[in-house]
Amino acid sequence: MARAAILGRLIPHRITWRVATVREVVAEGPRARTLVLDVPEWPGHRAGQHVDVRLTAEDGYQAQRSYSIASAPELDTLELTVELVDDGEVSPYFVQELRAGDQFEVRGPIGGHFSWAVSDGGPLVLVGGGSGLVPLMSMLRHRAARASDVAAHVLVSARSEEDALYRDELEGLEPRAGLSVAWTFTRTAPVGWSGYARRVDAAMLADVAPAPGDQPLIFVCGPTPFVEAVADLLVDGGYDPRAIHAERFGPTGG
Amino acid sequence: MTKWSKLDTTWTGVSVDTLLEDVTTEAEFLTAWSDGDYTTNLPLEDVSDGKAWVVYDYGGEPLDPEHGGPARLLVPHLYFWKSAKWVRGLALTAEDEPGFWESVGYNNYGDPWREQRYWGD
Amino acid sequence: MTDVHTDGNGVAGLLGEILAVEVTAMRRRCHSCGAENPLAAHRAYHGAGVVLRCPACTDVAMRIGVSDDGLVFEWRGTFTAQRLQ
Repeated sequence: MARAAILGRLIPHRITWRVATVREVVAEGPRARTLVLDVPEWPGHRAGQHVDVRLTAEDGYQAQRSYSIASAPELDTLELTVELVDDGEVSPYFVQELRAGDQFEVRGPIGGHFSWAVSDGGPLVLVGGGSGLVPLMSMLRHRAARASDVAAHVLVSARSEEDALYRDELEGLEPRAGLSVAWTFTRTAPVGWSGYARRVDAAMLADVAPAPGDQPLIFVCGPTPFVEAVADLLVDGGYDPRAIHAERFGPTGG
Repeated sequence: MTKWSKLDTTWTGVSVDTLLEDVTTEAEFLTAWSDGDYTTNLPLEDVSDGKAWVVYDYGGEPLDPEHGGPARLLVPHLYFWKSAKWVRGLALTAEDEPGFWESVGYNNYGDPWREQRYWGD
Repeated sequence: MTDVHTDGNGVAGLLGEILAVEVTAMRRRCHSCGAENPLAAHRAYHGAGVVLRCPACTDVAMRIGVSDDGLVFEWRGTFTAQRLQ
């Protein structure tokens, strides 16, 4: 199976601030929105990469945040999914106020280490906590756009059904050869739920992931404590640490 | 067109003057020692006479780690990065000893009140 | 001890203001403990600037000071990067 030498590879590019115009704001449940953006001369991206965004208030105050790109590279728009963080400085604006026609600055794409393309091969293990699913969704959308049958084993941890992003779309993708998606709800499981309802643990990973001997490429994303707990479990479970790509969103997620 | 603006913040704490009330010293500088082996250096006169606090509440709630809790320095008249997070102790020193950030050029530049950046806050 | 951090992925945009290369995939051998990890895996702490720390031993790997004019870097350890084919 083809496996590109991703580690240590430099991808030269100049990233500069560009103006993004909101084409559409799509609700993803009560606490998240997907921002569909037009960015002139966008250079394209690899699934898993992110952008920095910059907001400038009328008094000149600026704030920057990073958001993972949700869309597949095959699209001609750029999509970011933003989850509301209570008392956050930026997310309330994006989730509750932003409208089509508004503009802000983006810079990217950023992050070659946490990225994947079909040509990198697999099998894939994708583990997302909350909004950590966003960059993994970019990978799955890219995989679908290429009609790839690289095996992908996905595990998503969400507090409740409200926080579970893209569920309908993932259920629509699942019948495609080689894709399996498991959900675990850590606070409130959906009514009638018979699946996992606890924090990710060794037993759950053993159920979901192929054996270490299959040498999967592993991507883990979400709040820092989640990512580090999962990465530790995977290393303890015998997976090669060098095959584990992690992206830590910090204490509040992304 | 919608507009975005920064949140207002309120802090609660104890004045550095109160902490140094019973201290007699000839030292001219203060070094704040923080978790993670960080040090922050300030002239003593910049943290005296009501100009600095050790704060432990933010917006009426106990200060959380991402905002520098359980306790941090707050020195509103200086650049925000001088308001050392995760403070564990204050030391009075005779000499001006460059702290952790001063050693990579932090001096008089940088926007006041620049907040730390996190993913998707 | 309070431990609030992200990782090198979130710092790549900042470094890209000065460096015309993608740094997250560079590997670093820690000068303190010898562990080898990609920059993306290093813990990033945001204070006045940014500090990256070895994920194995938490020693400082890189300090970045940010000004309106540019960046001040301090790098420690041995870094490896491959050329594009």
